[in-house]
Amino acid sequence: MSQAHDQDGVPPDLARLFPGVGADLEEDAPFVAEGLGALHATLDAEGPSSAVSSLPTRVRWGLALGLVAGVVTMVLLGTRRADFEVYPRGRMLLDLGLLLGPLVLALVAALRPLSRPALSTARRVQWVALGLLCLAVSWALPAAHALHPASQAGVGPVFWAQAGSCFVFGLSFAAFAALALGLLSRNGPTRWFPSALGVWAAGLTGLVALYLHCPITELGHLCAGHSTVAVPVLALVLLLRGRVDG
Amino acid sequence: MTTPATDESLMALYLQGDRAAFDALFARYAPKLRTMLARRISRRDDVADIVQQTFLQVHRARKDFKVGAKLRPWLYTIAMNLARQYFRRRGRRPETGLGEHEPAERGREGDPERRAVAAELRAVLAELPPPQREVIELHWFEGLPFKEVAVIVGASESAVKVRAHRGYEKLRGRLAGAVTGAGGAGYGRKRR
Repeated sequence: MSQAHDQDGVPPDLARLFPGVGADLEEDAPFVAEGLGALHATLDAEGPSSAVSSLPTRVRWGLALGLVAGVVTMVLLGTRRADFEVYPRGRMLLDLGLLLGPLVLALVAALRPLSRPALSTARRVQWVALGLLCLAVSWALPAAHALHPASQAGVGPVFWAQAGSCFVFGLSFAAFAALALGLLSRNGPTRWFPSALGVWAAGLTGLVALYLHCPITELGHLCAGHSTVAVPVLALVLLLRGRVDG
Repeated sequence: MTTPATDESLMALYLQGDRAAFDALFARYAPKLRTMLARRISRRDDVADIVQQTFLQVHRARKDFKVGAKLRPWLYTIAMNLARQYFRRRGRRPETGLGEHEPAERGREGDPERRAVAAELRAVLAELPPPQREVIELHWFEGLPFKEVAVIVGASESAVKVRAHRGYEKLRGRLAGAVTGAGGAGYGRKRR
């Protein structure tokens, strides 16, 4: 290792060129007074919801994971899929892993505080790509079974009714999760990437709820009733992006 | 003579609900942050806005602050992240307003030789890879020790030293003539 690595100071030959750089600053009373006034006004205007977003990050992460666990428990106890007993357990774990893995990553990134070093662009791309890959694999897997009559429903005259019902079911959970995550989030409208990840996580929560609820394995139903939950989610992400860029 | 309160003791007071301690931190760091941001962002309103946002986030994230940790790198990490978002939104890299907003550089604007070197430094800095440039800006311009720079950029101290060394070498190479003119060697500038 060269000498420069072991020293804490600026190379003096460079420092001598710009002796003023890094010097202590003059007092700037007007800037401080004006800034403090505006800051106090903003802090005083913060609503009660800021009490939730101000919780320590570990607590917010815990609450977010608890929210997902709550959704899973609620659906399993209340409206679990009719073919639950015959569904191969290994396959179910794989399917849930492909949804919950990206969901947890999205939650962690969405609630990551600004006081931690930012995720690199490469890491962001990796996480988004991994999430999309998991979803693609999840959709590409063949039907786990055809042993239950409920799995064959949702075709014919009831196609749109069943698809619409699933869409509303999934979207309800997604909207509930989005609201809850919105309370936990400290992101302003200018932080589009973590906000978008929050929306993405909410959408995945809706898909998890749908997966545990709906026994229909017919591809058309999955496309029309389940995948479409992504449409309003994507619209919201694009809207966020547009607001930030605009 | 009373010793000024440390950043950490002020933060501890603020965590107990003392808003005056928060105001004292703002008075201490808002001008420093403004100068740091003004080196990168030319629009003064945007700079003031990011300073505001930084302290707003300090307030919102106050319960994340670990008692016993250093406040300064924590604060600078927030400001740097907000600055990165600002540039990401605008799809461009930071400007290098070196000397433009630096009080200590005022009065030298008439020195054509120094202005030429400053312009060259700006150009060379702009060519550095962002990780090296960021480390040099924090280490040299903000006067932060490598240990704190490492916390801010989320890398190990040794990695940060390597980045700084490489960046300084490039600067030295490009500014060779001016550096020779400035003379002398030997480290040891005292860190704040």
